Amino acid sequence: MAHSEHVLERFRHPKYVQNSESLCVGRAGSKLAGSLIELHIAVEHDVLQARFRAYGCPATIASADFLAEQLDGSTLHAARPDRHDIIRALQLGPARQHCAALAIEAMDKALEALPST
Amino acid sequence: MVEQAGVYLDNAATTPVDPKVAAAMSRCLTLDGNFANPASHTHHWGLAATDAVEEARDEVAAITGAAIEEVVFTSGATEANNLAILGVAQRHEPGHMISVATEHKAVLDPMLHLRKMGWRIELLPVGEDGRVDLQQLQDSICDDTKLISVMHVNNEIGVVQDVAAIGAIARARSVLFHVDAAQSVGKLALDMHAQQIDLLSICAHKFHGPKGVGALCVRRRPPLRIGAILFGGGHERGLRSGTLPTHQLVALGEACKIARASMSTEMPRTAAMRDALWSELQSIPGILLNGSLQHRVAGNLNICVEGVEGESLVTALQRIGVSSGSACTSASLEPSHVLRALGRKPEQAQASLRISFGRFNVEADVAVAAQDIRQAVQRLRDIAPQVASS
Repeated sequence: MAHSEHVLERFRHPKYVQNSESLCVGRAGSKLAGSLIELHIAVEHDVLQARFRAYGCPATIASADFLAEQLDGSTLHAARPDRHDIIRALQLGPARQHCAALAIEAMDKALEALPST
Repeated sequence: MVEQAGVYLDNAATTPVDPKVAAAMSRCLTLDGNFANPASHTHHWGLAATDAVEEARDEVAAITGAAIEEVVFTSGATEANNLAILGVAQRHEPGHMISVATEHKAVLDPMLHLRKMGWRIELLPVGEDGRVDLQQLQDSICDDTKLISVMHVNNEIGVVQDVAAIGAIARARSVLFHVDAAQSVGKLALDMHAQQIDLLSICAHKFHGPKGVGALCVRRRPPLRIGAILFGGGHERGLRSGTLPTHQLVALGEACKIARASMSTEMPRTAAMRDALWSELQSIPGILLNGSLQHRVAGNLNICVEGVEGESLVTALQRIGVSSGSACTSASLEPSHVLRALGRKPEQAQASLRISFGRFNVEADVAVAAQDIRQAVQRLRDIAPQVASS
């Protein structure tokens, strides 16, 4: 159950929680399985706006917040983070790495759902 | 306590040692105290240690209703449960044993070990209230049933089983009856003979004694023979070899003494705090109580919180120490076997909180817990996707 300070800080004070409805949504996981991440993405002038909603353990919420931060303000064609970036940044242990994979899956689905791509 | 270190509400996991118990224990460690080996009868140090250990045995006997010679000291309830179950198995040809789906792993695991050795192990279901159906228990007894093992108070949900009624059923069919009383000793009245219990497990650390010490009370009239599982010296009438830890046993005795003297006032006080918290929490939407409120040990509250994940809830509760029934250690979630046995759906059992009050909690702790749980639930629900249950 021990989490890194990076995870705990984002879990306690997430900055990228979605609060509007006009974004494309990528959804990964399920509440039944214990983790569900929604990544909400919009594009304006080739620049992404990213937000998240998440249900799950602290590492799930922190992974979604970190990924939304990485995507928010990046250009549409910039290189995307992968799960290793999340694992490294949040110092996720082996038992928590699926949380990072889930966030990436949500990102991929959200990007696919964008009308311009 | 609240301002400095938060509020400890996990007394069903373990309790802080009572300062009076710690003082008694520390008097048995150094040269100027009762440090000696109680088996050393050749000098006064050893004889004084023997006296101290036997006084502790008196206290255990008094709190369990056992006779003094029925008390076998162990390292705790896990060892006592293993000794009871494996010890009975050693004296019989493989046959049938009955227990309950909501038992502690310290009962379930030795039973499942016996299953590999040819024993038929039957685990009875419980109702939504967490209690065993006595008729079903009676009907499940076979000609070759050797042991029934039922815990007095469940460690997760605090539900109390009617051990006297089960004892009567077992005795009428000449089946041995074991009770894991780890969560009830010092909290509920125990009298192993009146309740027709043949084997009774207790430990010290659930009622403000130290970890690492407990006892199995083994009926002697008529004599009940069980096999040992530890060998090397023949201590405890051959049932539990190993030098008796004077300091641990003195502490166990002191914990029994304090609990026995304070039970009649302490349990209503603890129950009142639990009831006050439950009253506060009921106003939060989507909160369910796990197990019977009526048949429940004083300090225990166990709830499911819908729409919130358990580990996040516990992590968000920084100021209060409680436990959760789940942990996200893999992609697949394993809800508690106790909550599943109550019929809780996996998504409900994911977010369960066990809140357990003890001797050192005060009324003000209720308000802190209620406020923090309410805020944490709201915050996590605000972050969660707004979808029904996908």
